[in-house]
Amino acid sequence: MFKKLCRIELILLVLCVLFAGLSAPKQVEAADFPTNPIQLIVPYAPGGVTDIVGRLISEKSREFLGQPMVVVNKPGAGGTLGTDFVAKSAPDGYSLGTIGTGTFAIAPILNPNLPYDPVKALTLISRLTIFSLVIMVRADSPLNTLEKLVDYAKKNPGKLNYGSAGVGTALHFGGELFNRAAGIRMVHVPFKGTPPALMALLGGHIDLFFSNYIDAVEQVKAGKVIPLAVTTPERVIAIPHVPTVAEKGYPDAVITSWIGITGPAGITPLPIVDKLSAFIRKVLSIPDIQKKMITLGVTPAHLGPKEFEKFAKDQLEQFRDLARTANIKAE
Amino acid sequence: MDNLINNLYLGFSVSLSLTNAFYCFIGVLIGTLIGVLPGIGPTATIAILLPMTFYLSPVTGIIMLAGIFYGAQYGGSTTSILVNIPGEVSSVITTLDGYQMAQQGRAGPALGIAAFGSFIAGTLATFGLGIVAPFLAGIALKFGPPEYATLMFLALITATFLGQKSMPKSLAMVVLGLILSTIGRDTITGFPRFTLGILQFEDGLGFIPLIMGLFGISEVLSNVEEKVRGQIFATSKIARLLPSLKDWRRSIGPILRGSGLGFFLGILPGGGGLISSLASYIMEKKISRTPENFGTGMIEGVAGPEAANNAGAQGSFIPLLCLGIPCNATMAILIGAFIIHGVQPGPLTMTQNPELFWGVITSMYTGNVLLLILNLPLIGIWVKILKVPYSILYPLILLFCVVGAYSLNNSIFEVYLTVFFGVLGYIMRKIDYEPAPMVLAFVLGPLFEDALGQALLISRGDYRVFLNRPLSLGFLVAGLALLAMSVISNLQKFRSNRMKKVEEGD
Amino acid sequence: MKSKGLISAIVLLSFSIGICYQASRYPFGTVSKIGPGFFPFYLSIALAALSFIILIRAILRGAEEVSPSATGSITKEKALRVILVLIFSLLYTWAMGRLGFPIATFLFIVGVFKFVESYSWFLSILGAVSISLSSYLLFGVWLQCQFPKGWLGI
Repeated sequence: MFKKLCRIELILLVLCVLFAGLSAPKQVEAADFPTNPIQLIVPYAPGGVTDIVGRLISEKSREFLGQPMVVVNKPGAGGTLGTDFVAKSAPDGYSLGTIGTGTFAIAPILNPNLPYDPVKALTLISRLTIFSLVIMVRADSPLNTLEKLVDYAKKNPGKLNYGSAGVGTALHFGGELFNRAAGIRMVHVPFKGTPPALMALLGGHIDLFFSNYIDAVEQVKAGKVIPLAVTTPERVIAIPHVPTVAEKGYPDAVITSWIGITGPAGITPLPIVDKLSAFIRKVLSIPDIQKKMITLGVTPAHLGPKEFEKFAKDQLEQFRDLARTANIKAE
Repeated sequence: MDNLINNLYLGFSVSLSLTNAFYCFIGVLIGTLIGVLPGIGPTATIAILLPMTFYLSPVTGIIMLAGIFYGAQYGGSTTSILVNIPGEVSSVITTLDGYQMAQQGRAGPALGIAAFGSFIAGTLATFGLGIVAPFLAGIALKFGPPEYATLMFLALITATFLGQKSMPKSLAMVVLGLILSTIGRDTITGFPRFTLGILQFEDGLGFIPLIMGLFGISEVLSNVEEKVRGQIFATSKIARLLPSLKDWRRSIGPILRGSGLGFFLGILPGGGGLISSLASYIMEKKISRTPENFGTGMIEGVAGPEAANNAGAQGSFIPLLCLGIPCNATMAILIGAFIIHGVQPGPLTMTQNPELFWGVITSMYTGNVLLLILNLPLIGIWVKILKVPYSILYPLILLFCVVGAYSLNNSIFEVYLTVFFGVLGYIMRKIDYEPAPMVLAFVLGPLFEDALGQALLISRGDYRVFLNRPLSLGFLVAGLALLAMSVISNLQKFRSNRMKKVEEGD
Repeated sequence: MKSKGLISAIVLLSFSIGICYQASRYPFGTVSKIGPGFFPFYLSIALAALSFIILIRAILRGAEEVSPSATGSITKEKALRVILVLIFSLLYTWAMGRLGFPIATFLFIVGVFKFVESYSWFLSILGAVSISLSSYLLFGVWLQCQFPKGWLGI
């Protein structure tokens, strides 16, 4: 019986090796790219902003690139699990991923043992969108303008609570940034994600909330919450009447969240990167896509590989700096 | 009341349209099939089918996705009963008595009462939704961190009653579950605990791998000890596929109580389904005349929790539809679906998109009807599956567990984790420890700890915040009272046992 | 059966001591901002106390501890079967990542059918082929689960 075992195993093994050899990836000319479906790794659970934006883009792949782009969700560890997977994939242009504030700029600060170095291990292909944080309070709160808020905070240091979706999220950073810029001290109450924080705000358990616009859009429309200010350099198209923090005199509180497309470092041949970037720019210029994104609260804002790289590196510096002063660190 | 009739009429006219009813049916069908495959829960399914809904109108797409959601809830109960693998958080409780019933050849009545119980609960809940939805949403908001913390404390105490065996062992399991739940980054400080540098542990241990391993795989391992050629479940005549009159008489009370309990508990974010079924089980155990039989196949232990978790599932739609806030991962995906369709649920949905709001609510009812029609004949098929020789069945079960654990997050690591928990569960069985209290503590633990931390942050360390709020104080007192009662009664029992043994002569 | 309770209590006790030690190295925080070490530390103390109680009870109960469930004794044959199934499951998991889902499933089923259940080679391979094909169709194609691609690119 043992001999029969060996023989069958041997045959199977040989077959496997044969097929493996036959299916080795071939070197692709940039002009032909893509000849196979592309994988877009979204390092978050389905349904979030990044996931939706990624799906919007990937839907157009068949039309413009001739091959489908399939979204694969690999959530975990705040997005770093999926991003690490991308960083370690083959640099042939078929394994792409989404990248954003959290996974590029914040992750290395929170996790000194991050398995990938965002600057060295990734090729930044294009920026997709930027979006803002919105400072919001309950509708019936007496602190319904930014001035009143800061005023109260200065007179009562350490009395106000602000909620966030978690320690080390962009929202938390935004809050601390504002604390520092306005010279006030508000206590940070972290929640696990936006929904419980939003409920706490509506229920009056916390005083204000730094939120991604998209997560509170309906509350704003229904008048349940009042947006006090937005944190991007420009006003948010969907709520044009809300001033920016810079306009209100706190230029140091400006913080921009963003999403982009990335791939592992060293994608060859190089023209593939440009081809992908051009594709993305094309998709972002479609009015229908733009409209969908704006309702999502994100602003389409394409940047090509070189500009994107510079932008991202600046972001990394900004966050490192903030983390130092606000004492947000890895343990 | 008049308004309600109008609204329901509007809703039904939407949900009973041919297209919508058809897609509701498809959703419920897919949901049930998916729910039956352990691990591939509603979250993964909805994610897979989300792209399909691009081509449907918003209302239709959402009705289909909602159908998948509660179809999968029911499917999850099916696997709980048949193979002791809870497909969903809330189905954990169903395994306690449901699987026992299956082993005694009463899988049919178990599945049947689960189906009917869910249906009745769903009907009641739908009407409840229509009447009190906005009001309930307001109540949900009143629950702040102190209320959550004390409620979770109460729930944790009741979790110890799940165990049949010794009290210290159940308590130990609860504490162990709490300790395991601390693995990962702590919400309040973001500090990584017990992660051993492994990235996958940063979010904590996966819940699905935990239950699939502890319940499903350990069950397989323990059955595999002996080589069996046939089936391992007692068979029953075909006539006994449905619950008997006696079963009904025992179950109707639990079903009604479970529906009410589940509906109200379901509106609380983060555990509505689980807490509902837990509460119902404990309630039935306490008011039963034979509490010690719970865990050996009491139909009340299936009827009540099943009704509760279905009512809870519908209750959990309230924050979504009224406030636009999702209270679990599946809801979050549903919101994503809404957004892609250009509709976003929120406080204005009821007034601005009434056909959407009432359409979805009434489709829950039609969904429940379809589920019943779909599942009753299926019961016969499921029971037949149990007749497959176990030597062929169990590799399939393992296969499904592996696929399920992988598909959750496309991660092989989680499959290894599942197998590890399977071994752990097997060992636990051998030494008489029960997994159920541990699993419940594992889920409730983070909710408790986070709420506690947040409450203390907000009150700046003043612990009186738990005492001077009525709801919070109430939960706290109830929890402490329960704890005291059970410790005392347990000590008494132990002492009287010892007395008896001394008398009988050592 | 006294040994069962005894061993489990000792294992729990040592586990809780380990957790206690590790948790004590995490910051405890203040009452107004609970640190990460607080919870696990006190929990591990509670666990230690409980395992102590279990220990005492196990000793007091002595030889009368009767366990209603069919835990039985663990014979060598039983253990062998369990371990074999376990090994195959682990190999299956590993293979799924390297060889791709269909091949891994095939090998797993063949392994279990032939070596654990002692079906004939013919039946084992037949079963394996049909199961791996149908499950690939069900999960890979119809449900669009994104399995890792193995050697053969499937």
